[in-house]
Amino acid sequence: MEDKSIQFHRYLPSISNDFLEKIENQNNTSKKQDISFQKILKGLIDEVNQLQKDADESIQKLVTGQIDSVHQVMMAVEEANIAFQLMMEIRNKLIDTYQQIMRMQI
Amino acid sequence: MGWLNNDVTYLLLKKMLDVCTLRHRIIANNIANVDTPGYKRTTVIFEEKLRSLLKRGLNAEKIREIQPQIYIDETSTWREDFNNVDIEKEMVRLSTNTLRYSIYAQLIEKKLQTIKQAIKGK
Amino acid sequence: MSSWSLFSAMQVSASGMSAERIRMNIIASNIANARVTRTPAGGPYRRKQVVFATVLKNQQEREMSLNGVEVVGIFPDPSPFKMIYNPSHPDANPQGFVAMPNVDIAVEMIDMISSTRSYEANVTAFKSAENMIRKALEIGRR
Repeated sequence: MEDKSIQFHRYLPSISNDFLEKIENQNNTSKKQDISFQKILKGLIDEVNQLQKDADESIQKLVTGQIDSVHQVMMAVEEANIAFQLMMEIRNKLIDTYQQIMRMQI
Repeated sequence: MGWLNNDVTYLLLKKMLDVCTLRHRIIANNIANVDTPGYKRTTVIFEEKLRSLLKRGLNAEKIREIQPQIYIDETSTWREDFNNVDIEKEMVRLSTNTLRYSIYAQLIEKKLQTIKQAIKGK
Repeated sequence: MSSWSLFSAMQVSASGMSAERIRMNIIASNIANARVTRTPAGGPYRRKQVVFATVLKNQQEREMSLNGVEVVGIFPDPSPFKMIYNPSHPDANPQGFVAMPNVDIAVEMIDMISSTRSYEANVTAFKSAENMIRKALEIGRR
């Protein structure tokens, strides 16, 4: 589990700090894990949802002519995609971690 | 994602795409008006502002703030119709600007690819 | 039309193409009628010229805008007809001079070349905008 956190540090150095802190805290306190994992996932999902909404909005604006900038829309869509991908990877790793820990406790 | 939209390079590249778009509009307008009597060409100032900003230190906030400016070029001309558009120069600017746009778009694409790779891990 | 839009820039280029095309038509008409001594209105053909103007934001303000160019009028050239000595011509006056159109073919040819070049420059600008939009589509393609 330690390794996976370090991997995030190395490849995504500018990942938001409070999110990192949450992961660090999970390493330390094993009791509150159920709730905290949920919280992290919820936070991620909310962020991803917002970005997807933003991307959809900019697509709508492109269609109706409010925004005319193709690169703006492409980037909004791409940012939403990346956020989604990141969320999926983190979700997978968190679930793996969670399962490992559950196995340990038993 | 807070982290991507606070990255100085990413924001800079995003802004440069906007600047190139504005610049193209202006060059296109200059070209369309090459035969209009009395027309004075316009130009976009941005890179100089960026340079002076670089000396004082670049951060996300400053990049968000800095805006390109449109200037009317009042230099005189030999033309009888007082139009100061030099079509050759405009064509050069057109090419340069188009290439720049491609470069910035390419760089953004590479950056996004790197991030996607990083997410996939190992 | 947003300044941040390449689509608007394409419209600007299109306005340039339209204007130059009108100009080319007028030049062609001048050339075709360069030796016409009898027009429906009577008298020789009078040279026409096009007047271009920048498209303004609105008429009152006369504000600088980036909306391209338009033809605001096609006016007759007031310069005098050329009096050519040709007593055998059916339209010769009692002194033997014919009033010929005030069209100078050399001038028209130069104008035509200039107009063609301007037209092509607008086409290039138009295509450049197209290229940039296509390039933007490649963001996040893979």
